Amino acid sequence: MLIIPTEDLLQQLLNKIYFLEETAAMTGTGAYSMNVITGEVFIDELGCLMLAVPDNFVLKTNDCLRLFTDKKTALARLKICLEGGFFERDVLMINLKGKEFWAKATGKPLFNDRGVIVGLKGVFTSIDRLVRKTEEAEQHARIIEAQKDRLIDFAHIVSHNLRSHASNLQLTLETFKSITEPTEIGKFKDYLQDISENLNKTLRHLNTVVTTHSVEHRFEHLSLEKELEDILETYRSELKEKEVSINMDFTAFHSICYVKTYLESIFKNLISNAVRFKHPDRACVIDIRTKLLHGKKLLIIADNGTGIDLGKYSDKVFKMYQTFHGNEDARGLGLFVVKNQVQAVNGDISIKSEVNVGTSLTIRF
Amino acid sequence: MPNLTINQACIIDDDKLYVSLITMLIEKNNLARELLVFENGQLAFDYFKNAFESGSKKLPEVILLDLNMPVMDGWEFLDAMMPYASQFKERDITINVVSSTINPFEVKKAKSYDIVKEFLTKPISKEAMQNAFSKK
Repeated sequence: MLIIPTEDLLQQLLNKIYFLEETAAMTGTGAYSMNVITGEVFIDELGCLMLAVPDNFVLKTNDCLRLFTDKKTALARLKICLEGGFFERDVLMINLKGKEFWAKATGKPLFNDRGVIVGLKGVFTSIDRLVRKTEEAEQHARIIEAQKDRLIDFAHIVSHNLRSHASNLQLTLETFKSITEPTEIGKFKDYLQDISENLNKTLRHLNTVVTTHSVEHRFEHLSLEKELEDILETYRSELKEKEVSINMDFTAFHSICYVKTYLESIFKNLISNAVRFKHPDRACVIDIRTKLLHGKKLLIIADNGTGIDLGKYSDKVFKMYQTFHGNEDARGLGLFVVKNQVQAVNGDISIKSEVNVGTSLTIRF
Repeated sequence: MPNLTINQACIIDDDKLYVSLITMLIEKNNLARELLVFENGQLAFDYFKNAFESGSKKLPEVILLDLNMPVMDGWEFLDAMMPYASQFKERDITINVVSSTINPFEVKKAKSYDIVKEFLTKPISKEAMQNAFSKK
């Protein structure tokens, strides 16, 4: 017996279809089902539009993996549904024209008429704009955070370091308030001289930092080997005297478009750190190499020196005027300056270190 | 008149200029008979740990502690000394934090330590010194 819906029921059905279509169109939602037994794939009109599936193109199960950047996870999710489970996840998809977009996708088991699971079905909505906007906002937040840290460092220098000179000056005046003896006057002048020199040094450091963020950056193609050789040449005699051996390997990439002075500063500061903190029991060996990781260019400078206890100092390593070894040479400025320069051109620097084993610094260009 | 000058004072600070100036100030004003100087927290900690554990050594009555130092800074020194807090009390040793910071958070943090008597801001005046070195 054929059941003909009453007009009322028909109207309800039509309404429902209308609302579904409107929702799908407004949210950009496509529907799909996939039968792994027959290899058939169904994607509705809106879904085909989102995936840039050409007219008359018949998608097969095997083609579907092409739609995901992370194929392993996509397969795992298919398996979940085939085992009777379901998923609702944000996934990075690639349409058939090769454009990546973020989608929220769901999947549930697809049953045949005998109630056996033969595949999966679900919907997917483009959330690309949302995700991109969020990523952008996060990126901005990170930049602001980094700038805030720099400002705090600045406030620190101004408040602490300049104040300490001022206070030494005041203390000198206080101590030598009523001097008359010539020997005392000589000492008094020596103190003033020292304070003046220290003050100048601090101001020079301050200048280094200010210029990093106020000058326009001029990028040029640089050969890593040539730049490194130039730096090594400048310090040739010192490196020889201290028996430092340097190995370089720029096979991953050998040139870079970068700010010349910054690259020089990276080599200079990191090499001099490695030499300064060499292990007393062995000759200093520095390995400098490039590496490509997920399309990102990395420069790694590793030594076999004394190392730093990062458990204790990790939040201080890149801060200004932090010295860890009680070493007379340490100015606590090198890593701070390098980090500022690298970040000023959207890169970053990270550190790995083990006490008595060595330190490895990685620059991401 | 009772003798109010303290026997030994201790300065923990890495600023050599400051240390020599404060030394002169102490000498000129007869604020202490002897002065013990450490250029970072670690050296001071080793000294005090050893002194407390051997129990025999003469100890300074007043300590002027800087915050920003290499190797072991003032905060780490205070934390490291916590197990010996009762010793500081018993032997009547006062620690004064002396720093050029004006960060209210650091001032408050310094005062939260039981063993810290005062927070003195650099530049430290003669009056503040006399106060810190006076026997109550």
